[in-house]
Amino acid sequence: MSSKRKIGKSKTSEIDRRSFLKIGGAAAAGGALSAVLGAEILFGAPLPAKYVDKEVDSCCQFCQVRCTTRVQIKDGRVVNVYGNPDNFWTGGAMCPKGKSMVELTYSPHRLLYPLLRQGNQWKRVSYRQALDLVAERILKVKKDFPDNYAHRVAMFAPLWESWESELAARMALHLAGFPDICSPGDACIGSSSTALNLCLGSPISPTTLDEILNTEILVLFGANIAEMYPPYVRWLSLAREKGVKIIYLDPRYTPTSNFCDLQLRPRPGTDGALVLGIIRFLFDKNLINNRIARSHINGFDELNAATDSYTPAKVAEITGLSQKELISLADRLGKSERVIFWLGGAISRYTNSIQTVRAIIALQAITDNLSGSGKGIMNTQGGKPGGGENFSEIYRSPDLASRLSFRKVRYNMERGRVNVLLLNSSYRRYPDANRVREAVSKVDFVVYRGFFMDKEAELAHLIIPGTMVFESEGSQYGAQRQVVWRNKAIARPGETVEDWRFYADLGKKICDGTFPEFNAAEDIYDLFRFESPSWQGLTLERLQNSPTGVTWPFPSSSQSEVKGSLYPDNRFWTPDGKVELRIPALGPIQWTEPKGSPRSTTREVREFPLVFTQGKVVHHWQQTYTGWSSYMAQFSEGNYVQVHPDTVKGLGFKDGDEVYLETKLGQIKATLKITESILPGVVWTPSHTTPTSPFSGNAGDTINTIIPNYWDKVSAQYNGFGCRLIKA
Amino acid sequence: MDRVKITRLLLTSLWLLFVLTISVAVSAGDEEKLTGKTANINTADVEDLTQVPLITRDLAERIVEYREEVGDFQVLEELLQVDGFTYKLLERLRPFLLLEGLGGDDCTC
Ligand code: SF4
Repeated sequence: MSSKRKIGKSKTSEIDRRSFLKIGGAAAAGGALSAVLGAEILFGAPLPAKYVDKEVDSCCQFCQVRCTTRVQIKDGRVVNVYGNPDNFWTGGAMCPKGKSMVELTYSPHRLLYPLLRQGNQWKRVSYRQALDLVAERILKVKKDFPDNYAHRVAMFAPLWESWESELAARMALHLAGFPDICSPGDACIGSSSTALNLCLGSPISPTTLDEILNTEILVLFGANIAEMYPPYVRWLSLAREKGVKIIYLDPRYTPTSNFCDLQLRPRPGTDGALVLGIIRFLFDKNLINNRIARSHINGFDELNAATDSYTPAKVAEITGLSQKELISLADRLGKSERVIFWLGGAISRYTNSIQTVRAIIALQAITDNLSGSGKGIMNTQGGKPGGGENFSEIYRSPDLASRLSFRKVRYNMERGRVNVLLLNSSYRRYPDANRVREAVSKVDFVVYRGFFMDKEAELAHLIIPGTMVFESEGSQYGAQRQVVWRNKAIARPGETVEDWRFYADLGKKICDGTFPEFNAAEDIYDLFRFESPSWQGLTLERLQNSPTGVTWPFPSSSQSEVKGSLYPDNRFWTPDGKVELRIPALGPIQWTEPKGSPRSTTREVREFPLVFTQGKVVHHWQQTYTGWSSYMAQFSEGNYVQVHPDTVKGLGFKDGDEVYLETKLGQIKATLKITESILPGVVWTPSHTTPTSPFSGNAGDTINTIIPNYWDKVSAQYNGFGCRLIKA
Repeated sequence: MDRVKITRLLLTSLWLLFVLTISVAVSAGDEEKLTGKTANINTADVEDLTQVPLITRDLAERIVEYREEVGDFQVLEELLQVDGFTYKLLERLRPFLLLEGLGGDDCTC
């Protein structure tokens, strides 16, 4: 591939320990932005050989950049981790989250032994005792409710530990007859992946990152790459060096703004209207080849009709952009031969998100930009390979009931109909988190598979602590459809246990002898590959020898790996091979205000006039885990809110004030940051502070406790509704 | 290559679509013959649902409440989640119930 020569190795190995520490200190003093922009070099430094006994190939278990790493060990202890310089996608870069694992592994706060609740006390029990207790509880459910046990045991996913853990958990529960594993998509990018699946036949990102070097225009649609995926920043720089124009759509100026040619700032939640306006413009200006478009799109004429009213004037009014900006953007996109859209996570977190992503797919389809080199769509966290249907069909009870989504599980918990909950993920990932907490508290037996005494532990009857990233082996997938193998670097401490082992042990006890025998994560991977035709070429050996990971699909060992477009020949994975824009359950493509928006709801206008938005910062990974790192806390600032000076003009607020950020559900305390980088009338706050963190930088109220319960058909809304600020 | 599963819910059958607005008469074994209209349980309002035999206004309201609270029904058996809906009732009503909606099993994260 032509890009490979340029991508090559980063300069990380040229930085010695001393300069690393110096830069680290500078970054801390300079605040979050410098840390973000320096991340790709700053966090990649290896320790000199004299301080190290051995190095083990591993990977980071957090985001889907899936940085491969090298773990440095001295006297049986991890002393450092650095990015693998031969990784094609990262060039050896990492972000601070991956680096924080060294500290977290040895955290004095870490839970190392199973704990059983006895009144207000915790009693230490052995892993075997804990396992027996869980199995007993689950088998009792089957005994007590022989005709309707299916929805009485549930699990909150995801399992971060490895793909094998996800498989083992699914097998154990499905073979035992319990379908309810709450998909992380409910609280993540479920809307965009559903739209991609409906329209193209696969939920997976239609192309990979290397293709941005072959495009003309890259549109970052709310994709704050520098903050979310710091190791990919160099790809943005390389694309620009090659003449690619990068257009960034985001209501805020962020670190990513520095890497773009143009930024437009539509009002939050209006992206769908913007895209429908562009489509209307292209129809009106005859910038679409109708014959070609009709030949590969179902619903082309309906699209023309549905966008009829999205005139520049109307779209300008909705989005807050000028008609000139809108027309200029539409004209550029219409006249470009190759365009890639990169969707940020926020695109999926409005109640109009499925329609927005459907509109983006339609735009790419009518401009012939969905298939081939330099074209397509990338979705943040959108790389999970498919192809596991066969395996799922085999390893399940023959009469397994249909899976209930999170909201339906919550509905059952609230009515006391769930007896055992396996809490593998934070309950605080959902909106109205206090209501979720209340629902979980009605479950008879909650098992927490966590690492620290988090809010989740407060709800647990039994804690069985998990291993951390250096203590287990297994595969993990990444945003570029790559599958990566991670080796075990050190022994697991105390009586911690890998997720795959826990669920394999449990499976043997609750599945009536139908659960297969596994002695290692490799056994699970091999079985899955054996049953999955599109994984045949993804041999363990190939994964273990690759510093990058290997790209799915890979149906035959005799073929070579294929990156880039999932649909190279304009044939999509829909039943007739065409782009399917007709989705009866959604009706025509259209844009609507997000639920609870101050622009659409009288009450919100009056009482909660500001638009709430939130996002991930580089130093936090969800509600648990990295919140327990002092290393991360030095860069973090707890709960804060960004507002434009005009938003607080004449109201007596000043920068640094303590305020309450309030929605119709409640309030959290935060520090006010007055900045021109955000649109007037909009509030932005970081997503993942946690009240249980012992470090002030990470500590703060869980913001999902004030996120109202607004959902589209598949996933939750986290932005776009009304809020207000009150002096503390 | 095996195709990734599409979670869009399918119409139970085309002929059911065809008779969407017409009356249906069904006799199940010794049970009394039922007559009434069919309804898509993911789009029908309370009035539509009360046109389906044996669905009372109370039950219709609970079906709509459930759907609005937690999302589209994914399978007809999910009606058993609604208070007052029994397996026996579901079996009798099957010929009158249509299912078209959207679910979210497609996450790639
Ligand atoms: S969180 Fe993501 S970007 Fe950061 S080190 Fe881990 S995989 Fe890499």
